[in-house]
This record gives sequence, structure tokens and C-alpha cells, in this order.
Amino acid sequence: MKRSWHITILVCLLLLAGGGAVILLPRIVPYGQCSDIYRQYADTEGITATFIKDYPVNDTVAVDVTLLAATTDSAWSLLQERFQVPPLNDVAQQLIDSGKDIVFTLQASKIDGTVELGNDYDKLLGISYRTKQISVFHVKNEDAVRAVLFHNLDKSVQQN
Amino acid sequence: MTTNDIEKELQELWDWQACRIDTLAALPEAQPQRINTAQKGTWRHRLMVKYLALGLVSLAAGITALAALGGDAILRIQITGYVLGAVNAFIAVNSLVTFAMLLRHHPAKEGTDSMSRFVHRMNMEPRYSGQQSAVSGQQSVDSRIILNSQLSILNSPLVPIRQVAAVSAAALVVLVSVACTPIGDGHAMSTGDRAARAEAIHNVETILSQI
Repeated sequence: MKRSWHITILVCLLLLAGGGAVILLPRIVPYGQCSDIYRQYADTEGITATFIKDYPVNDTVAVDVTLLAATTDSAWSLLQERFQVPPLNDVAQQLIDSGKDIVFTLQASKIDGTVELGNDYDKLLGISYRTKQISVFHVKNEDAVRAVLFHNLDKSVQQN
Repeated sequence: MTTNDIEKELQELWDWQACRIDTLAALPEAQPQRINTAQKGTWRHRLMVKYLALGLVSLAAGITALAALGGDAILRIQITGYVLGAVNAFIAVNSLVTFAMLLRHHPAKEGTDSMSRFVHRMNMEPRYSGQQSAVSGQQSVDSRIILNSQLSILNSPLVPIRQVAAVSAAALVVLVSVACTPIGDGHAMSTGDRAARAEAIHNVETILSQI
């Protein structure tokens, strides 16, 4: 076979291998493009922070999500304080102890670095008491707000 | 040995060489085999269409690669877009340049290019009566040289059509695959650990399902 064909086949294989590597390797969001909340808690001991870019809430809406999971009681206390998570009453605590989960929703306002509750918000917090996790949905418009809040309603309507 | 004897020997040697050239020019291998002058225009036209199509497709693919992948948030995909854009741009430029060369080189101009003029200048005027057959043999060899030079122009070593088309096809496959296939597990996340990624997605789905 001619030398030119050797080079051609080599170039083609390099292109295909490079494309295969791009497709198979997971997509990692650069640190600088993650949310402020992620960068704030990424190095905090006892907290596992994960940032998900463009998480598909439904077929048309995708939002960025920052997931904060507390692995220790002290870390969970810190998150409760920072995010103003309301404490559970006795009944709710019994439900949690029996294995059920309670997910509480809060709205957080547009302040970088810290989270404050308010009407002018760009974050929806989903707080899971049983798993001690806070999921921050970074909503940019009304469609995203509606998609997150009425996610289960939309799903049941579609199923029916 | 007299001068006449020397001339006679030279004449015999010349005639022998002329006969040898005639014999060589008459061999099947010396005949122009690949291109019939009458069909040359059709073959040239088909080649032009191939190069033009290859050039335009590569140009479109390069622009698409830069637009679709070059602006992605992931560095790896950005680099893929730039590499595919560069490869397709190189193929497009070479193909379109070769197309332009083919467009300029018209069969009607056969014999007027520089290679033909050089070959004709090399022909020497016959000095002896026995050189007529040598000239006819030389002319047959000249026509083969002209055709080969035109062949080398038309089959430009810069753009061997089959090899470049193969590379262009591979680049197109990579472009379509990267642009249309979900990368990795389909999510862009801050961590590359597969277990952590799967767990995070599961936790978000669980919370979302209970809101």
C-alpha cells in the first residue's frame, strides 16, 4: 500500500480516536464556571458540593443545580444556619425517624456568596431533612420557576 | 581513417540509434494509455466537480464545527471544534485551489503551456537525411511527455482526491458524533467521578420528585 495511504489511514484513526475520547469521557464543568454557592462550599469539611450544569427539569427547561450534602451533624447545622432552614417540630421529626422524608421549598434572593430569603429570588431551594441535603435550583426566568415547582404536577398530567 | 570513413560510421551509428528509438516508441508501454484526448474534457469535468464538491462540503463542515463546538463550555469540546475547523479549512482550501487550477488548465491550450514549449525547443533540426525516422520517434515520445505533464497537473500531489476525501469523511463523522451524541453520561458536572456523578443526579431527582 502506498505511503500516502498509510498517512491517510493514520490521520483518520487519530481523528476517530480523538472524537471517541471526547464522547466517552465525562463532561466536567471548569471550576470558574460553577456557581458561587458551589465555590463557597466545595472545600468545606463535612459538605459534599456538586454542581450540575443545565440539568433537564423537563423536555424544554434546563436549570443549573448546586447540590450540598452534609455528611456530619455539624455540617448540617451549618447549612441549616446559612440557608435559614426552619427546624422540625416533634411530629415532623418522628416522620423523619420512621424513614419518611420531608422536602421543604424556599426561595432565595439574588445575593452572591450568601443566601437570603426574599421575594426577588433567583434560587429555589429543595431541602431534604432525611438525607440532609439542599438542592439549589438556579432559576433564571418564570418558565424555570414553574417547571421546578410544578414538576410533579406536570409529570402526573402527562402520564394521565 | 579518412574523414569520409568517420562520417560514414557516424551515419551508421545514428541510423541505428534512430531505429532503436522508433522501436522503443512503437512499444505498447510508450503509447499514451490512460487518457484519450477526445475524452479528456469529460474526465476533467468530472474531476472538477469532485474537487468543488469536496471543497464546499469541507468548508461548510469547518464553519459548523467552529460554530457548534468552539463555543462550548467544556475545554475538550472547544479544542475538538478548533481542530475539526482547521482540518476542514485545510481540505477546503486545497480542494478549491485545485479546482481553480483545473479551471485554468483547458484542453484547448494543449501544447501552449511551458512544458510543451520546453520540449519543442529541445527538438533539434534534422542534420542528416537518416534522421527523419528519429524525429518521428522523438515526436511520439514528446507527445507522451506532454500528456504526462498534464496528468501531473491534473493529479496535483497537493490534493490526492481519494485520500483527502477519506480524511474529510472521518472529520465529518467525528463532527456529527460529537455534536449529536450525549457526551459521557449526558450531564455536565463539577466532578468526573462516575459514582459521585450518578449519586448526585439521583439525589437531585429524588428531591425534585418530592417538591
